[in-house]
Amino acid sequence: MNSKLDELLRRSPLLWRGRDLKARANGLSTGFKELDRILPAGGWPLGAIVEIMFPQPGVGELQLLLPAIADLGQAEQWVVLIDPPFIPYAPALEAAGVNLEFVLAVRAQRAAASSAHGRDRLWSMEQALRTPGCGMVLCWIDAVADKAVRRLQLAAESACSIGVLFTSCLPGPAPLSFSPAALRLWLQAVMPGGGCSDSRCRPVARRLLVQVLKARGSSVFRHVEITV
Amino acid sequence: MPITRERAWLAVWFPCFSLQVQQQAVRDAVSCASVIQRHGQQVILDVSASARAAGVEAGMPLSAAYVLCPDMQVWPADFQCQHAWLERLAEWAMRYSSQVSVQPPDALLLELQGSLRLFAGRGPLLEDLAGTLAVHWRLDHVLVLTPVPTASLLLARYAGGVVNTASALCAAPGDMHCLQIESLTELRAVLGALQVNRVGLQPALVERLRAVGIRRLQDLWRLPVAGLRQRFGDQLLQWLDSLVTAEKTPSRYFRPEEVFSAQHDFPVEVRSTVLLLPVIDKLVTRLVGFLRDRDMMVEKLQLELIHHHASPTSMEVVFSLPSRNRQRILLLIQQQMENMVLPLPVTAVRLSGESFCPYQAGHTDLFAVTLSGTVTAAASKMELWQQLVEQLQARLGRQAVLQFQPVDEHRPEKAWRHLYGLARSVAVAAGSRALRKQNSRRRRTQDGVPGPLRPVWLLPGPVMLRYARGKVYYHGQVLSLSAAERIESGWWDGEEIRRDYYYATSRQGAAYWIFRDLKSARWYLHGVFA
Repeated sequence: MNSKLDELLRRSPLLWRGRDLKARANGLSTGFKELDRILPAGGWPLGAIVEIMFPQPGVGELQLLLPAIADLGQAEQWVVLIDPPFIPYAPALEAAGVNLEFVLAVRAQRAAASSAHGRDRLWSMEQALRTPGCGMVLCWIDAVADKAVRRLQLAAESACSIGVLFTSCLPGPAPLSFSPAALRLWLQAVMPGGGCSDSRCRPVARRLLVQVLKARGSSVFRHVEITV
Repeated sequence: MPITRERAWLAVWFPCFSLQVQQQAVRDAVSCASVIQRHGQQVILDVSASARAAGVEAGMPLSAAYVLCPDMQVWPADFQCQHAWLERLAEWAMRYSSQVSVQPPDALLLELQGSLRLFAGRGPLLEDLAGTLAVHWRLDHVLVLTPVPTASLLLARYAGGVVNTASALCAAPGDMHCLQIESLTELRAVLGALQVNRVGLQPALVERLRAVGIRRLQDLWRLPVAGLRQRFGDQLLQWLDSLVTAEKTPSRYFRPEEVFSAQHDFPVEVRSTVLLLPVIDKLVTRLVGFLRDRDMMVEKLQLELIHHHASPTSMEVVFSLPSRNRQRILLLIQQQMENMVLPLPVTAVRLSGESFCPYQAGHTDLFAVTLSGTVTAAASKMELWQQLVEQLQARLGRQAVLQFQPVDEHRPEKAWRHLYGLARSVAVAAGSRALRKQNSRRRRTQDGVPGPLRPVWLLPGPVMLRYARGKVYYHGQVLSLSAAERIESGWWDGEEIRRDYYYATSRQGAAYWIFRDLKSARWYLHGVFA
């Protein structure tokens, strides 16, 4: 029975299995083998929007992207940070292999409080995503309308760039909201088994639980624990 | 002999123009003719092929024509309609030449010398032009190419070049005829053979010319100039001159409209946006043609949905990078319409272009660079990014776009600096490559030994933490600490620091970079390991 199925699958180009998408899609390796394995594109999907939900700054959300950002810098592709919550610290980024010449930060949030904040952020993000030579645009934002995400999605497709939206979520169960982003990840810090209180040793490597809430091209959503 | 630039003037004459600009029903009628009023009499202007076969000729009184061909259909010639057609044709012809002149009532003049290189020679250009005239415009036409505009026009209209009939060209597109004359001497010979009664001169003048035995143009050229002027006036001399002097160019060139506005009226009211899209597609296609003819790109568009008895619903489409790409324009309009609910039924759609800019090739999707795909020159990519930075700065302020650089310094807050705008300009792009290589080598040599632990986020300034009973709290949570690093530096410039830095984790798994100030023994948060 199985051999007949295999035979059919091999012969007919009309039949394919959802899980085989990995082979056909092209993605940018995340730098974490375990994570690459569960993502349908085999990494960060090129020309798409990725939404990353994290409970609070400091769980390792940027570490997750640094290997990819470093790769992009080597390929002379630009990385744009839009409204990062803190100052991107140059010595740490350089130590992680990031090519700072190709990193641009944009402060879209103006001093005067107005409803235009989100709009300027998304506008900047769209402009950057559209520009040829753009590798990745990271944007920190509270909430995005579906329509805006679709627009960004088109912008990302046009220059084959990756858009990353960092949105915060409440700690606790997986959020139930919907989004048109091609890939949605939910991050949770994994508590170390025993508290490390020895102040002389280097900190133990942190574990981060990455749960795929949605991935275009796959119907099976898995989760993986990675070390950042 | 003065060296003048070679010119090539193409006259496009439409022999059955007054018939062919009529509606479809008229075009398809077998025997038909157009008439004009002349001396209070209706006179035939143009006739169709089958009517001509029956013996009907241009210039014949209508009553006589009816005797020869009783079932002929007749329409009055509409010169207004012809002129409108000519202007549309001229607009289209702008894609072949920037010098187009409308020659009412039924011809166009184009200067082609300047466009020959673009079209890889006369052959391809003329074939493309004739093919489009036949297939798209469905017009019969005569093409004549000479160095003199007036001569081209005269030869096309009166010397009977071969008519390229639309139906024949549709069937065999390569089968195109064009009378081409290269040199002035050759042109003189061809013109000289023309009979004076067949070159559109006033009948009275022709009579007087024939009375003194002048049959052909060459007879005129042989006469002494002074005598000619005395007998027939200056006008004839000037006309003769203009036939053989290449410097005489048309007095007025066609200037296309600089604004675009196109409207589509629906026969019935439309209630769904889905039905609007195909119509918008058509309007956008016209817009793209408009842009291409003028070598322009659009920056801003306005789409108006017109309702019955109500002010129109309008929306604006603004392009960050000007475009003339049909798909891109459509996409943006579609995006805007996606979530739109039609407030009222729509009776018409109007698309108007509001601001245009000259076309720049490198501006659009030409330089699409992808990780997997093509790679283009680094300098042009840099230019694009310079443009992006300018654009961002224009909207958000000059200080809104930053780049970061590390600084060799022990004090963490001084170990970096920022620059507004792009750190390196396009010009130095190449030069810094060597430096970067050096940098990456330096990084690699450090790889063996782990460098000092640094967070990717730095706070703008240290934030004081609560310290009680031997524990540090942040947002009410106890932090557990590890990996102390002492940093003592800066005693020489008065900004001395003495701190013990710790890697701290909260119960929720967030990691922070905190320090204890050795002078004040207070605890501060300084960075986040994001």
